[in-house]
Amino acid sequence: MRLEATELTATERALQAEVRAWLDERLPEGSYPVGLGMVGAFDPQFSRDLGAQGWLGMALPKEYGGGGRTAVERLVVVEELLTRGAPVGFHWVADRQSGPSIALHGTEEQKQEFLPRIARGEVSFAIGMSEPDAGSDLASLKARAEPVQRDGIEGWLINGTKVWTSGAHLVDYILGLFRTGDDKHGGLTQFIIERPSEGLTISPIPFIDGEEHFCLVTFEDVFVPDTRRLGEIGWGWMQNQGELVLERGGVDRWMSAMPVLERWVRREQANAQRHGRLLGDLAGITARCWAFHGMSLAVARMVDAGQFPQTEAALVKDMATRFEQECVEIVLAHLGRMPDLASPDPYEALLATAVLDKPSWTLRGGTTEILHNLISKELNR
Amino acid sequence: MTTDAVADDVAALVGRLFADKAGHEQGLAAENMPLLEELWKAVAGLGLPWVGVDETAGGSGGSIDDLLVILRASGEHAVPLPLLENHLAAWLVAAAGGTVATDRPWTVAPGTPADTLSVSGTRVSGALHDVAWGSAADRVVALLNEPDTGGVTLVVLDPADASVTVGRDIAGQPRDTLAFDGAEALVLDSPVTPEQLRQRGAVLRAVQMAGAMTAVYEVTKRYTGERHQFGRPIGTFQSVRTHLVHLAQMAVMTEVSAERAAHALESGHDASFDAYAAKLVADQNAAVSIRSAHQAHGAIGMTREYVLQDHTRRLNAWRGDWGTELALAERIGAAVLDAGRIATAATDAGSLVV
Repeated sequence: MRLEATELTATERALQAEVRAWLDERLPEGSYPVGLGMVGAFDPQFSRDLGAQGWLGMALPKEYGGGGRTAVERLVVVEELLTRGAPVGFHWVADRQSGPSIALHGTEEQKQEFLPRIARGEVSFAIGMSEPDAGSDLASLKARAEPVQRDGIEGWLINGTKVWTSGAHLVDYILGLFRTGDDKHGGLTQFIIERPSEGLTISPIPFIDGEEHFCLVTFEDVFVPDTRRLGEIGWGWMQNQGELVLERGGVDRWMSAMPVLERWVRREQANAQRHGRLLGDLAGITARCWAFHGMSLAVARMVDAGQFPQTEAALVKDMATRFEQECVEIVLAHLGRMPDLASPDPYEALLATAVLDKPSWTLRGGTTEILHNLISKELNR
Repeated sequence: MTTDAVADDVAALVGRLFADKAGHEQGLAAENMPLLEELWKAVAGLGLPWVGVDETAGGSGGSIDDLLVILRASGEHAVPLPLLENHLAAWLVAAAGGTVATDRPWTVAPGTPADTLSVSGTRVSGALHDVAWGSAADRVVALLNEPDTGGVTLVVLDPADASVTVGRDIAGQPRDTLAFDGAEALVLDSPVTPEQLRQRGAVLRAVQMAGAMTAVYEVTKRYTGERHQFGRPIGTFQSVRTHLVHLAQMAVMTEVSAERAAHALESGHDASFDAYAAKLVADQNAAVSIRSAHQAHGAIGMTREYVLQDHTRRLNAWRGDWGTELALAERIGAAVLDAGRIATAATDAGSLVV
């Protein structure tokens, strides 16, 4: 396995400059709650403004309101958003995952219904995968969809429970994986469920840092019309694996700590205490950020070349998510005390959040251990 | 034919050549002699040591990618020859308008704080340290800063004129001290600075290290697939598989980073950060690679007879030259602190000068 060395082209650099200039205007420091990676704040207006720039749904087809642009161009935009800890929460899942998945597997009606709104930043999605008894072994999930007819409409009745569904209490739609047959992998199908729906109950589960984004989602005879089935019956597992490539290969996998790092280096510069350990840590982190930027770029180029870099994406994600966590440990050591979540100093509060949240970075989108299994299988092929 | 296709051809050619001629036994034999003459002749006969050096200067021509393929393969096959050093010497001489001789190996002085070389006219005196294959090389090339003019002087010396203190690096490769006393030298003005030489040395060494890490991964994968304990191959245990994943990651990351840095050297923008970041990443990744491979192997990996040491000892030697971890980290770290930014240093090619 290898990744091809690549850099941004002049056109891509121009986009980068354009995004930076716009964000300087739109998100001045102090005007927004700084987030860590994909768990940026929910800000529908910001998402709409971003959509108006053409920077959402960038890789979606033009005929459905997308940008018809490349995975690399999307990466350029996302790098700038994550560097600033921008409020990306509203559109994040729709832009990264649900949109591309609908573009790939959706019916003509579904594409027309959802994709233009995703590209305009008007709708938000959550992903319904894990269940109380199905985590790493996701295909053992039990929540069921049974075919029914209601008022003459073909549809499905959904029953069961999804858990750790991030943002479910805020989004417009949940794109979920449900059992429609007994075959472990071949008996799974994806559905798009509106929130609110009758029989759908969503209860936030307070996160370790006290915030609400995890949810418990219960389905009691929730009726979903067949027009909201995504893809063929029984193809859900395959479609879901495809989504995970999008989830794993992106830049969000090395940049979660970037808002902390940017503030750290500015503070150390102001402190004017130049010592060997500080220089060594700054160098090690910056060199690795440069290396991960290169690897994410290489994976994005593979996607643009029509390849399916599942193993490469997993290989990078595993390294990058461990790296993000090491970064927080290093910054913490330089602070010299345990930061306070309620600190009036926004930097300390952000660092405290990072200290608490960082174990989740090697869990979401497939744990380190699951990724190792996936990579080993491919390496031994 | 595309450049990629040419590079693939070169890769196939050098892969076969090194696999045939430069095995584990040659590596052991090389530790007891100044130079493996037969191996050098086989490699030199194809013009490989002068790939990436202009034909007008006596080189073999070819692109930077061809050069990377050869050096990467030399690392992967633990080729006990001064291929990097010969390239750097030839590159410096060609850049200064000189002509290289394509027969015997040349080497380069990396430039250490202990060096005492001085030039008077065409006469040279003083010592050069840590010269790889210094006593076996036909010529040694060194750069000198000229404080008076701000220029750089290149000298080409014959090691036969030096009193030689032979030494070996931790991988058993020749690393000698050459002391000259009024020796006659070819003296040229060099457009390449010692700093630029260090950048190119760092990047190309990192390319060789990427090759060595690939070999470490392959050797470990083979061994853990064959070695049975508790009734099954040890590579089927999750804890051992974790080592394999880490080994693959270190190799992939080092290779793509070193290649990006090599392209940056050719790009015309300042490549100091890319070059030193690539070597720092290679140095740190080598440490992980060495540890994981030996851990997965157990006792067999700790022997001279087994192939793993061909690669792990070289990785250790190469961590120690053309930029070591602490020195690189201080340079990069100081530049990052002065710039007060990390993200754009990582994402904007050429924006950070270290």
